[in-house]
Amino acid sequence: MKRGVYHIALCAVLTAAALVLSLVESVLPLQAVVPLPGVKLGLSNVVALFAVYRLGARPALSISLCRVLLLFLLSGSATSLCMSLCGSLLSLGGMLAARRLAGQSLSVLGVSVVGAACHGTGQILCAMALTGGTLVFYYLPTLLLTAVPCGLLTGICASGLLKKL
Amino acid sequence: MKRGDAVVCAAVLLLAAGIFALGLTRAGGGQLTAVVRQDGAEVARVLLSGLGEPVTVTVTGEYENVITVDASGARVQSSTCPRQTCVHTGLLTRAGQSAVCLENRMTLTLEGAGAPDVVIR
Repeated sequence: MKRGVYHIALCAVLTAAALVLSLVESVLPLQAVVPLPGVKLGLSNVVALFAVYRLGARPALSISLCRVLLLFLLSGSATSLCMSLCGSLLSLGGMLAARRLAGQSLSVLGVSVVGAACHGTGQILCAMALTGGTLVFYYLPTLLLTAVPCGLLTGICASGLLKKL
Repeated sequence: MKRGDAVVCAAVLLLAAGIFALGLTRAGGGQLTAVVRQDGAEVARVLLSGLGEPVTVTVTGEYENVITVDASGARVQSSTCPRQTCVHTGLLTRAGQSAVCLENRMTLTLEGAGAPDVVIR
């Protein structure tokens, strides 16, 4: 991996792209089509996948952390910061682990689905900690069900991106 | 698309089905009670059956949730929180259903009376 100015600039561009995708996603009226709270396409996952495959674990982690913090400064409340932090970290961990452990038998699509499922799980864990009960745990199936199509969609985008760039 | 991808998708769907089934077994029948909790601590408990007039419970905190309970069910009537997820959840009518306001750390649940939390055999 080439270090230096080129590398820093690349990470910055990817962070900016991920941030814009998150913002675009937050204004998409997805809730009108699927009236489920917390269900999102996870467009910024495309950038996370790209970073996981092209740059490695540490740049991917720093891009995700910067995106979450910047998104909080632009739009968020403390609750949503906590939620997206838990979701993103678990998602990134899941994708890195999936790629390392089963990289031979998984394509970008599978890794993306793992990431989406982990993202939902992280958010539910955070919500459980916030509400102090196991009640919201039973919302996890909804998030896991939607994680499969959303993960496949972002995976398709990311694999296209990885082929072209 | 490799075979592993399909396995991952199937595993996620199976996990979802498993947790959903677990949730179903927890929701007991019997008389319904609306339970309001904040920060995990119980704030109010209202028995639904035989309720003539609607009962209003107000939960304060960082935001304010107004909950109404009558014989047909319970709902978050209004809330000052930004996302209004709890209000949009609508009327809860069956045991195990719940409305959650994360911003106010509030949960509203319908519980079947006398249903144990966990059964260990």
